[in-house]
Amino acid sequence: MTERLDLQLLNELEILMEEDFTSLLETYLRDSENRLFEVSEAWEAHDMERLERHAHSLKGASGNIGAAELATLCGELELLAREDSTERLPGMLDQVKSELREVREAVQALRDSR
Amino acid sequence: MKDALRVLVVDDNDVDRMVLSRIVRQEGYDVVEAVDGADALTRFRDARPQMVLLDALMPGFDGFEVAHFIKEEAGEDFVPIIFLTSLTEADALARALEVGGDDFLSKPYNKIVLKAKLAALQRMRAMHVTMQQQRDEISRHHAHLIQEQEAAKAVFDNVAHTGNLDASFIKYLISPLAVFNGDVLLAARNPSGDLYLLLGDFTGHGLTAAIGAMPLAEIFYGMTRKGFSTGEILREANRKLSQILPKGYFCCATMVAMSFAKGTLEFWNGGLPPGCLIRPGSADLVHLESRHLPLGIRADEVFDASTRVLEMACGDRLVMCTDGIVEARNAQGEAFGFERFDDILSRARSHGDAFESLKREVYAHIGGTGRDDDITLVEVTMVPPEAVDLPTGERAAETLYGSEDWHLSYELGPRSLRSSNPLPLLQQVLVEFPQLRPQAGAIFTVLSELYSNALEHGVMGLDSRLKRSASGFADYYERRQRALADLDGWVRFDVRCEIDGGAGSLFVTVTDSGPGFDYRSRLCDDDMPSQEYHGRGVRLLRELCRSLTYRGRGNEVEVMFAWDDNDGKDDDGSMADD
Repeated sequence: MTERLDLQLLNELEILMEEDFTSLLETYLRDSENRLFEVSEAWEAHDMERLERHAHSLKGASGNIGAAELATLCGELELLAREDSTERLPGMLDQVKSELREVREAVQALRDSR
Repeated sequence: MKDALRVLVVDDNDVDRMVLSRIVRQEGYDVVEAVDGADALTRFRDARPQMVLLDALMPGFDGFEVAHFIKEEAGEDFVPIIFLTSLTEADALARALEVGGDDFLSKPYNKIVLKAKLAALQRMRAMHVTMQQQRDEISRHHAHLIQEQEAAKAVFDNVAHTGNLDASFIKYLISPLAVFNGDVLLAARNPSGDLYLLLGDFTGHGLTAAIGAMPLAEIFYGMTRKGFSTGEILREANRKLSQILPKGYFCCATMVAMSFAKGTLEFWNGGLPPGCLIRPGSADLVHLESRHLPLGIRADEVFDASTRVLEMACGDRLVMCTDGIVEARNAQGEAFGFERFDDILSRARSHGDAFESLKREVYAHIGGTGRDDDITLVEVTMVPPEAVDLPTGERAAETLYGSEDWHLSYELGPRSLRSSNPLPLLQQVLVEFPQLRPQAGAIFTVLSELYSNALEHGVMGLDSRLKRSASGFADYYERRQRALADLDGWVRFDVRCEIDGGAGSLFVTVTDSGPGFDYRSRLCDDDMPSQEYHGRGVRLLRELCRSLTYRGRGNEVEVMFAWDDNDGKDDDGSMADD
């Protein structure tokens, strides 16, 4: 679980956010769920522009809370959507889903520990 | 310093916006958050933030559209925009710059980098604000200055460019730039109807140059109206200007007095280009060269106000200019020059439009540049006295009926003769009586003629026959100058006035200490028309008064003016000879 999140970055983030830190973690949990839902729906609807936008957004948020690996995967997904690369996209989408699940578990644990 | 600054953070991503807002807030800024493009527009309008952190990719209005709107809305205020995104694509970067993005910040956010960027943009903003304030201040000062100059121009125009210039025999040109180039053109008639004209060019431009024009004009108009001589006016102007102008400032000037009655031109030139006298009958131009220092330089004791006198026949034209015309440059920087000026006037001798030719050629020389348009030019033509369409002094024909009988005796000894002019004083006394005013011009002319006869021929013994030739004419006035310095003798005015209601008479007797002259034989000479400006001008005098009588050994002359009821103006020629 430790490799999912950059603990040093999170530590700095906690110092920065102070009492809003847990609120930030909760926001991430809620937001990432929404983004994943949007991404999945966009894939079903073959709406690549929508998929790209939400992948981009999830990438940004994930990067900011220290989930570097997830951010990288989201970046890949964003790129595939832009290139309309329908063959490789489902595989990448699965990777993102799996990584996100792990990240969310870690964030959840962190939030609960506060 | 930065506490009051408001920063708008625009991001549709909640996590990113929260983190960013927190960093910015921690740096001491006020933060306004917007969750998408439409929200950003509303919040920008409401909160008027000074800086904007803007996510590029958002649903609805994206960051580029928002940036464009903000830059438009901000107008000339500088509202820095930092785009939030790791824009890796060249065209997106270009678009961000195109809509006015000032910097970029990539995710994940780095506090130090953001802090540095905010500080840098804040400095830029502060500089921009300072620059704007200074610009506004400068333009306020400028507007104020323009306003003051316009007010000053109005005053200056009233003082310097008015007067008796609108006469058929005077043509003049004062270019628009001349407002504050310090050029002054003044003209007025004295009580005997002579035209006094002063063309001046103050050193420097702008207000300093204009300021000196005020006292100069006042002295000129005031003293001309009261009948002072050119020399006295120049002396007073020099005294006043020396007193008020700062060091290094002075006024190049030419002053002329044209007597229409006598056909003479008296002039003084201190520092201006030569005036040109064009005589249709003569092949050469006569140049009125500068022989004096400009006004406002020399102390009163050493100031030389001596004038020169030339004959000026009807149709002779005098052209004068300031150095603006001589120095007018064409596109190649070549000056118009005095030779060209002279040449045009020489060619214009036969036809009548020296002024127009000169004007045309100067403007042709300057071309369309207009930057050297600094031109003041005047032409005066000698005309017969009856063609002078300008008023002389006050001619208020008040019909005050009163009764007067008085006698005045005024004798000038040698020192007074050398240094002062009795005519303004006499003039002042005479105009006190409204009944005399309609004839003031004639009276003044006669008095000045009688006085100069008494002084020059009577006391100083100068021979009027010298004036018969043109060279003798100039010679005469030089001798007069010398004789004045060591004269001995006196001149006395006896004025007797009798007024009864609307009718009255004025007797003036002028007596001098000289040996007199054989008026019985000499008066015959004066009947010859060609010699009327030399001799004792008896013909002119006879035309102006009702009677003229020489007495004793010829050192005493009496003139008489008379008027009846309903006879405001008694200068009818048929009654002049007795």
